[in-house]
Amino acid sequence: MAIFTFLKKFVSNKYTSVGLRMILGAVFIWSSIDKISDPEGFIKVVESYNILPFTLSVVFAVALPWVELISGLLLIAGVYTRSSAVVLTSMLIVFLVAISINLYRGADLACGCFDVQSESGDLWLTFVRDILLIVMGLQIFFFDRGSFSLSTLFTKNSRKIPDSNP
Amino acid sequence: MQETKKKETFKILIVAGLIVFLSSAIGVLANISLVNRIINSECITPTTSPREASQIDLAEAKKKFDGGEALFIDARCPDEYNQGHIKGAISLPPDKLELECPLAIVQLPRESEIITYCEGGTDCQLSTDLAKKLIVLGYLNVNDFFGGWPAWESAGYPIDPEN
Repeated sequence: MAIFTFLKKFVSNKYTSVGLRMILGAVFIWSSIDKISDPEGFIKVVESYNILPFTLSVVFAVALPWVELISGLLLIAGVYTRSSAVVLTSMLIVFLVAISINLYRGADLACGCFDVQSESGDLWLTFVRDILLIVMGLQIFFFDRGSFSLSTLFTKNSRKIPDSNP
Repeated sequence: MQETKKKETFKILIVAGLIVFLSSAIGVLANISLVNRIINSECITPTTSPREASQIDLAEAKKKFDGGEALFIDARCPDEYNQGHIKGAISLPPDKLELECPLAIVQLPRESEIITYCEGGTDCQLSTDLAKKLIVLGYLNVNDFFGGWPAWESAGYPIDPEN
Protein backbone atom coordinates (compact mmCIF):
# COMPACT_ATOMS: atom_id res chain seq x y z
CA MET A 1 0.00 0.00 0.00
CA ALA A 2 2.88 2.32 0.83
CA ILE A 3 4.22 1.86 -2.67
CA PHE A 4 0.84 2.74 -4.12
CA THR A 5 0.66 5.96 -2.11
CA PHE A 6 4.20 6.85 -3.10
CA LEU A 7 3.42 6.24 -6.75
CA LYS A 8 0.33 8.40 -6.55
CA LYS A 9 2.31 11.20 -4.96
CA PHE A 10 5.07 10.84 -7.50
CA VAL A 11 2.72 10.94 -10.46
CA SER A 12 0.81 13.98 -9.22
CA ASN A 13 3.92 15.84 -8.04
CA LYS A 14 4.47 19.16 -9.76
CA TYR A 15 8.18 18.57 -10.19
CA THR A 16 7.48 15.30 -12.00
CA SER A 17 5.55 17.19 -14.61
CA VAL A 18 8.29 19.83 -14.88
CA GLY A 19 10.86 17.08 -15.49
CA LEU A 20 8.65 15.30 -18.01
CA ARG A 21 7.99 18.58 -19.81
CA MET A 22 11.73 19.04 -20.31
CA ILE A 23 12.23 15.44 -21.45
CA LEU A 24 9.27 15.28 -23.84
CA GLY A 25 10.01 18.75 -25.21
CA ALA A 26 13.65 17.90 -25.80
CA VAL A 27 12.79 14.58 -27.48
CA PHE A 28 10.50 16.34 -29.93
CA ILE A 29 12.84 19.23 -30.67
CA TRP A 30 15.67 16.80 -31.24
CA SER A 31 13.60 14.58 -33.50
CA SER A 32 12.36 17.52 -35.55
CA ILE A 33 15.79 18.90 -36.47
CA ASP A 34 16.89 16.07 -38.74
CA LYS A 35 13.49 16.03 -40.46
CA ILE A 36 13.49 19.78 -41.03
CA SER A 37 16.98 19.73 -42.49
CA ASP A 38 16.19 16.84 -44.86
CA PRO A 39 12.56 17.17 -45.97
CA GLU A 40 12.99 14.88 -48.98
CA GLY A 41 14.43 12.16 -46.76
CA PHE A 42 11.47 12.44 -44.42
CA ILE A 43 8.99 12.29 -47.32
CA LYS A 44 10.55 8.92 -48.17
CA VAL A 45 10.15 7.83 -44.56
CA VAL A 46 6.45 8.77 -44.52
CA GLU A 47 6.02 7.03 -47.85
CA SER A 48 7.67 3.88 -46.54
CA TYR A 49 4.94 3.57 -43.92
CA ASN A 50 2.60 3.07 -46.87
CA ILE A 51 -0.47 4.56 -45.22
CA LEU A 52 -1.25 7.98 -46.71
CA PRO A 53 -1.82 8.68 -50.39
CA PHE A 54 1.30 10.19 -51.89
CA THR A 55 0.22 13.85 -52.11
CA LEU A 56 -0.98 13.81 -48.52
CA SER A 57 2.21 12.18 -47.31
CA VAL A 58 4.25 14.98 -48.90
CA VAL A 59 2.25 17.64 -47.07
CA PHE A 60 2.30 15.61 -43.85
CA ALA A 61 6.07 15.15 -44.10
CA VAL A 62 6.86 18.84 -44.51
CA ALA A 63 4.36 20.00 -41.88
CA LEU A 64 4.91 17.45 -39.11
CA PRO A 65 8.48 18.37 -38.08
CA TRP A 66 7.46 22.00 -37.57
CA VAL A 67 4.56 20.98 -35.38
CA GLU A 68 7.01 18.85 -33.38
CA LEU A 69 9.51 21.68 -33.06
CA ILE A 70 7.07 24.39 -32.07
CA SER A 71 5.06 22.34 -29.59
CA GLY A 72 8.33 21.02 -28.13
CA LEU A 73 9.56 24.57 -27.61
CA LEU A 74 6.22 25.66 -26.10
CA LEU A 75 6.27 22.67 -23.77
CA ILE A 76 9.73 23.45 -22.45
CA ALA A 77 8.96 27.15 -22.13
CA GLY A 78 5.72 26.33 -20.38
CA VAL A 79 3.60 28.44 -22.69
CA TYR A 80 0.23 26.85 -23.54
CA THR A 81 1.62 23.80 -21.80
CA ARG A 82 -1.56 21.74 -21.73
CA SER A 83 -2.39 22.51 -25.37
CA SER A 84 1.12 21.50 -26.42
CA ALA A 85 0.74 18.30 -24.40
CA VAL A 86 -2.51 17.61 -26.29
CA VAL A 87 -0.77 18.18 -29.64
CA LEU A 88 2.24 16.00 -28.83
CA THR A 89 0.16 13.21 -27.29
CA SER A 90 -2.20 13.17 -30.28
CA MET A 91 0.78 12.94 -32.63
CA LEU A 92 2.23 10.09 -30.60
CA ILE A 93 -1.11 8.28 -30.85
CA VAL A 94 -1.08 8.77 -34.64
CA PHE A 95 2.50 7.39 -34.74
CA LEU A 96 1.39 4.45 -32.61
CA VAL A 97 -1.37 3.61 -35.08
CA ALA A 98 1.06 3.88 -38.03
CA ILE A 99 3.61 1.67 -36.26
CA SER A 100 0.93 -0.87 -35.29
CA ILE A 101 -0.34 -1.13 -38.86
CA ASN A 102 3.17 -1.88 -40.08
CA LEU A 103 3.89 -4.32 -37.27
CA TYR A 104 0.70 -6.11 -38.27
CA ARG A 105 1.81 -6.13 -41.91
CA GLY A 106 5.16 -7.52 -40.84
CA ALA A 107 7.02 -4.72 -42.60
CA ASP A 108 10.67 -4.25 -41.73
CA LEU A 109 10.73 -0.46 -41.55
CA ALA A 110 13.15 2.03 -40.17
CA CYS A 111 11.23 4.17 -37.73
CA GLY A 112 12.65 7.39 -39.17
CA CYS A 113 11.82 9.04 -35.88
CA PHE A 114 15.14 10.67 -35.17
CA ASP A 115 17.29 9.85 -38.16
CA VAL A 116 15.63 10.01 -41.56
CA GLN A 117 18.50 8.18 -43.26
CA SER A 118 18.54 5.10 -41.04
CA GLU A 119 18.01 1.91 -43.00
CA SER A 120 16.37 -0.43 -40.59
CA GLY A 121 15.28 -0.43 -37.03
CA ASP A 122 13.33 -2.28 -34.43
CA LEU A 123 9.69 -1.31 -34.79
CA TRP A 124 8.80 -3.04 -31.51
CA LEU A 125 11.27 -0.85 -29.66
CA THR A 126 9.70 2.18 -31.33
CA PHE A 127 6.27 0.92 -30.27
CA VAL A 128 7.27 0.65 -26.61
CA ARG A 129 9.06 4.01 -26.65
CA ASP A 130 5.99 5.61 -28.17
CA ILE A 131 3.74 4.30 -25.38
CA LEU A 132 6.19 5.59 -22.79
CA LEU A 133 6.10 9.05 -24.36
CA ILE A 134 2.29 8.98 -24.44
CA VAL A 135 2.25 8.30 -20.69
CA MET A 136 4.53 11.32 -20.20
CA GLY A 137 2.22 13.50 -22.27
CA LEU A 138 -0.83 12.43 -20.28
CA GLN A 139 0.93 13.14 -16.98
CA ILE A 140 1.76 16.65 -18.18
CA PHE A 141 -1.78 17.25 -19.37
CA PHE A 142 -3.39 16.15 -16.12
CA PHE A 143 -0.90 17.28 -13.49
CA ASP A 144 1.06 20.26 -14.81
CA ARG A 145 0.51 23.24 -12.55
CA GLY A 146 2.59 25.73 -14.46
CA SER A 147 5.69 25.51 -12.27
CA PHE A 148 8.86 26.82 -13.89
CA SER A 149 7.00 28.16 -16.86
CA LEU A 150 7.12 31.44 -18.72
CA SER A 151 3.37 31.91 -18.64
CA THR A 152 3.23 31.64 -14.83
CA LEU A 153 6.12 34.05 -14.60
CA PHE A 154 4.04 36.70 -16.32
CA THR A 155 0.55 36.01 -15.05
CA LYS A 156 1.37 34.68 -11.57
CA ASN A 157 -1.58 32.32 -11.47
CA SER A 158 -0.61 28.70 -11.41
CA ARG A 159 -3.25 26.09 -12.01
CA LYS A 160 -4.85 24.65 -8.88
CA ILE A 161 -5.29 20.94 -8.82
CA PRO A 162 -7.50 19.62 -6.02
CA ASP A 163 -5.45 17.49 -3.65
CA SER A 164 -5.69 13.93 -4.83
CA ASN A 165 -5.60 12.60 -1.26
CA PRO A 166 -9.09 12.31 0.20
CA MET B 1 -17.33 24.47 -11.58
CA GLN B 2 -18.36 21.97 -14.25
CA GLU B 3 -19.00 24.83 -16.65
CA THR B 4 -15.59 26.47 -16.19
CA LYS B 5 -13.88 23.11 -16.62
CA LYS B 6 -15.70 22.59 -19.90
CA LYS B 7 -14.71 26.06 -21.06
CA GLU B 8 -11.11 25.44 -20.03
CA THR B 9 -10.96 22.16 -21.98
CA PHE B 10 -12.51 23.85 -25.00
CA LYS B 11 -9.90 26.62 -24.85
CA ILE B 12 -7.08 24.09 -24.59
CA LEU B 13 -8.33 22.23 -27.65
CA ILE B 14 -8.73 25.44 -29.67
CA VAL B 15 -5.16 26.49 -28.86
CA ALA B 16 -3.93 22.97 -29.68
CA GLY B 17 -5.64 23.22 -33.06
CA LEU B 18 -4.07 26.61 -33.67
CA ILE B 19 -0.60 25.29 -32.81
CA VAL B 20 -1.01 22.45 -35.31
CA PHE B 21 -2.43 24.72 -37.99
CA LEU B 22 0.16 27.50 -37.70
CA SER B 23 3.13 25.14 -37.43
CA SER B 24 1.92 23.13 -40.43
CA ALA B 25 1.53 26.35 -42.38
CA ILE B 26 5.13 27.31 -41.56
CA GLY B 27 6.30 23.86 -42.61
CA VAL B 28 4.43 23.88 -45.91
CA LEU B 29 5.45 27.47 -46.75
CA ALA B 30 9.09 26.78 -45.89
CA ASN B 31 9.06 23.88 -48.36
CA ILE B 32 6.62 25.24 -50.91
CA SER B 33 8.96 24.84 -53.87
CA LEU B 34 9.70 21.22 -52.98
CA VAL B 35 5.98 20.44 -52.54
CA ASN B 36 5.18 22.11 -55.84
CA ARG B 37 7.93 20.30 -57.65
CA ILE B 38 6.82 16.90 -56.38
CA ILE B 39 3.07 17.32 -56.75
CA ASN B 40 3.22 18.87 -60.21
CA SER B 41 5.90 16.52 -61.42
CA GLU B 42 6.09 15.23 -64.96
CA CYS B 43 5.10 11.83 -63.71
CA ILE B 44 1.46 12.48 -64.49
CA THR B 45 1.90 13.69 -68.06
CA PRO B 46 3.14 10.85 -70.22
CA THR B 47 5.14 11.21 -73.36
CA THR B 48 4.89 8.82 -76.27
CA SER B 49 7.79 6.57 -77.05
CA PRO B 50 8.17 3.61 -79.37
CA ARG B 51 10.83 2.00 -77.21
CA GLU B 52 10.36 -1.50 -75.81
CA ALA B 53 11.68 -2.77 -72.53
CA SER B 54 14.49 -5.21 -73.09
CA GLN B 55 14.08 -8.54 -71.37
CA ILE B 56 17.00 -9.73 -69.31
CA ASP B 57 17.73 -13.01 -67.54
CA LEU B 58 19.15 -13.83 -64.14
CA ALA B 59 22.80 -13.61 -65.16
CA GLU B 60 22.33 -10.16 -66.73
CA ALA B 61 20.31 -8.96 -63.78
CA LYS B 62 23.07 -10.04 -61.40
CA LYS B 63 25.68 -8.33 -63.54
CA LYS B 64 23.74 -5.06 -63.43
CA PHE B 65 23.18 -5.52 -59.69
CA ASP B 66 26.92 -5.91 -59.14
CA GLY B 67 27.55 -2.88 -61.32
CA GLY B 68 25.61 -0.92 -58.71
CA GLU B 69 24.19 1.57 -61.19
CA ALA B 70 20.79 0.05 -61.82
CA LEU B 71 17.65 0.65 -59.77
CA PHE B 72 15.60 -2.48 -59.14
CA ILE B 73 11.85 -1.90 -58.93
CA ASP B 74 9.59 -4.50 -57.39
CA ALA B 75 6.25 -4.55 -59.22
CA ARG B 76 4.52 -6.98 -56.86
CA CYS B 77 2.05 -5.87 -54.21
CA PRO B 78 3.52 -4.20 -51.11
CA ASP B 79 2.83 -7.23 -48.88
CA GLU B 80 4.97 -9.47 -51.04
CA TYR B 81 7.63 -6.77 -51.21
CA ASN B 82 7.69 -6.52 -47.42
CA GLN B 83 8.20 -10.25 -47.05
CA GLY B 84 11.34 -10.13 -49.16
CA HIS B 85 12.80 -8.37 -52.17
CA ILE B 86 16.03 -7.88 -54.10
CA LYS B 87 18.44 -5.88 -51.99
CA GLY B 88 17.98 -2.15 -52.50
CA ALA B 89 14.86 -2.55 -54.65
CA ILE B 90 12.01 -0.10 -54.21
CA SER B 91 8.35 -1.08 -54.24
CA LEU B 92 6.18 0.22 -57.06
CA PRO B 93 3.17 -1.75 -58.24
CA PRO B 94 2.11 -0.48 -61.69
CA ASP B 95 -1.35 0.57 -60.41
CA LYS B 96 0.28 2.95 -57.98
CA LEU B 97 2.06 4.78 -60.76
CA GLU B 98 -1.28 5.80 -62.24
CA LEU B 99 -2.53 7.39 -59.05
CA GLU B 100 0.52 9.16 -57.80
CA CYS B 101 4.14 9.86 -58.44
CA PRO B 102 6.48 8.38 -55.84
CA LEU B 103 9.44 10.50 -54.87
CA ALA B 104 11.91 7.82 -55.87
CA ILE B 105 10.60 8.18 -59.42
CA VAL B 106 10.46 11.99 -59.40
CA GLN B 107 14.12 12.16 -58.47
CA LEU B 108 15.20 9.54 -60.94
CA PRO B 109 16.96 10.93 -64.01
CA ARG B 110 15.39 9.78 -67.28
CA GLU B 111 18.64 8.11 -68.35
CA SER B 112 18.91 5.85 -65.30
CA GLU B 113 19.06 2.15 -65.72
CA ILE B 114 15.90 0.55 -64.33
CA ILE B 115 15.16 -3.12 -63.82
CA THR B 116 11.61 -4.22 -63.11
CA TYR B 117 10.71 -7.63 -61.76
CA CYS B 118 7.82 -9.52 -60.21
CA GLU B 119 6.87 -13.11 -59.43
CA GLY B 120 8.61 -14.40 -62.54
CA GLY B 121 7.49 -16.84 -65.21
CA THR B 122 4.59 -16.51 -67.60
CA ASP B 123 1.93 -15.54 -65.06
CA CYS B 124 3.86 -12.42 -64.13
CA GLN B 125 2.51 -9.46 -66.06
CA LEU B 126 3.18 -6.82 -63.41
CA SER B 127 6.81 -6.12 -64.22
CA THR B 128 6.06 -5.97 -67.95
CA ASP B 129 3.19 -3.53 -67.25
CA LEU B 130 5.41 -1.42 -65.06
CA ALA B 131 8.22 -1.39 -67.60
CA LYS B 132 5.79 -0.22 -70.29
CA LYS B 133 4.48 2.56 -68.07
CA LEU B 134 7.98 3.74 -67.21
CA ILE B 135 8.89 3.85 -70.87
CA VAL B 136 5.77 5.92 -71.55
CA LEU B 137 6.91 8.29 -68.81
CA GLY B 138 10.08 8.85 -70.75
CA TYR B 139 12.60 6.52 -69.15
CA LEU B 140 15.15 5.46 -71.71
CA ASN B 141 16.77 2.42 -70.17
CA VAL B 142 14.16 0.04 -68.79
CA ASN B 143 14.83 -3.68 -68.42
CA ASP B 144 12.33 -6.37 -67.51
CA PHE B 145 13.97 -9.11 -65.44
CA PHE B 146 11.98 -12.08 -66.56
CA GLY B 147 13.06 -14.64 -63.96
CA GLY B 148 11.95 -12.29 -61.22
CA TRP B 149 11.93 -12.83 -57.52
CA PRO B 150 11.89 -16.69 -57.44
CA ALA B 151 14.96 -16.96 -59.67
CA TRP B 152 16.84 -14.34 -57.65
CA GLU B 153 15.91 -15.84 -54.30
CA SER B 154 16.75 -19.43 -55.21
CA ALA B 155 20.09 -18.30 -56.64
CA GLY B 156 20.90 -17.02 -53.14
CA TYR B 157 21.67 -13.48 -54.32
CA PRO B 158 21.45 -10.52 -51.90
CA ILE B 159 17.96 -9.77 -50.57
CA ASP B 160 16.20 -7.60 -48.04
CA PRO B 161 15.36 -8.27 -45.25
CA GLU B 162 18.46 -10.40 -44.81
CA ASN B 163 17.87 -13.84 -43.36
